[in-house]
Amino acid sequence: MSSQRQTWQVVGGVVFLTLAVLLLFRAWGIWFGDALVWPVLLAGGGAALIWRQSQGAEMVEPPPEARARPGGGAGRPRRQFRLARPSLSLVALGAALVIGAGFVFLWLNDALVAAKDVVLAVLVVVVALGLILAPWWLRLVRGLDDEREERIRSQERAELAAHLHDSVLQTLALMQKRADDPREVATLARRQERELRSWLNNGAARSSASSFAAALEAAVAEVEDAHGVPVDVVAVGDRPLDEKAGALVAATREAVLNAVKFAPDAAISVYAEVDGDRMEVFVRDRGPGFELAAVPADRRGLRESVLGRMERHGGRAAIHTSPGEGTEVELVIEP
Amino acid sequence: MSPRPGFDPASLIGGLLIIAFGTLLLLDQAEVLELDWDYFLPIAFAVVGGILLASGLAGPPRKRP
Repeated sequence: MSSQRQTWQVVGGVVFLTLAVLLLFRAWGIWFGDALVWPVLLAGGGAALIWRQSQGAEMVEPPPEARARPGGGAGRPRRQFRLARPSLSLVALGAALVIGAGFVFLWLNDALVAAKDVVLAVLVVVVALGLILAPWWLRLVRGLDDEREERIRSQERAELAAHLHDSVLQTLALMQKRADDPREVATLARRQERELRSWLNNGAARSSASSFAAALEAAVAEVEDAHGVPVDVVAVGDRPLDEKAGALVAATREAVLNAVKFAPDAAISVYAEVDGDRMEVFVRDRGPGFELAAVPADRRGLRESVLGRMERHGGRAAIHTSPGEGTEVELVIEP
Repeated sequence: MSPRPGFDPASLIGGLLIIAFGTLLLLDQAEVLELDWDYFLPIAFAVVGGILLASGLAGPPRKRP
């Protein structure tokens, strides 16, 4: 951006200096006449703009579908020049300068006098036709806009209806069939809720194979489905799923599994936050809690799969709990 | 010898040009020389053009360390 500004400053400086020199020559009487010099200067400026922009045009190959012939087979490849959008406006400015220079030249040389009557007559006819046809034209434009909006609305309605049919209606039908199994009904409802939330938040765009937040939600959903216990997940921020993030997801899964096993009726929540390379996850439950010192040494779930895994990957884990106070597992990976 | 930090050649040239322009206007007021419109306009354009050209060629001002 800065170099572009400098280029324009140099161009402006050259233009002003050229004008200064020309005006000095004019004052000294070394002059070919206003009718020639100013149009030539304008046309030169416009041509320079067009020339400069044409050098920045890139040649593009049309896409294969654009080259396809109706009868099959591909047509002869035809190359096209394409200008970037800012260049197009500069080319238009250059063209306007050249055309303007032509008109100035004709006007200064009195060549437009003969055409004045014709131009005036054409102008009057155009204005009169514009005034007469304007209401119809406006109605046509509005009608086209309305039709386009209606078509977009109708497409959105059809898409929404298709999604509701494929997800919510199917799940509701399944829940009616399994009405005698409350646990299964709760699991189905929970899965549908998760899917709907993800759809509303455009979560379908994230892949659990590449996104930390998506992988975390998928791991928690897997535990939920397997045990039929609801777990709330809130993930703030995201990052690619590398080895450390994968280890954090696995440790979280183990912590959630423990919470589900030992506090199945309590509220369980997972809060994850990603800030650059720092990731932290809190798994909380309002279950019975336990005495940390009293955990037998052979219990490998917490010791190996959570604490050991976090340490092996350069992170740390802490368990805050006491009998009757619930449990919070804090998992942190720092850069 | 490298220029001192914060030195901006464009500002120096611009300042000199404006001082020169001001001096010309002062001389005109003191009737030492007669500056009519035919010369005033080219000189003004030359000052503006010189400042722009100097800024464009000098690049952004150096930052102090």
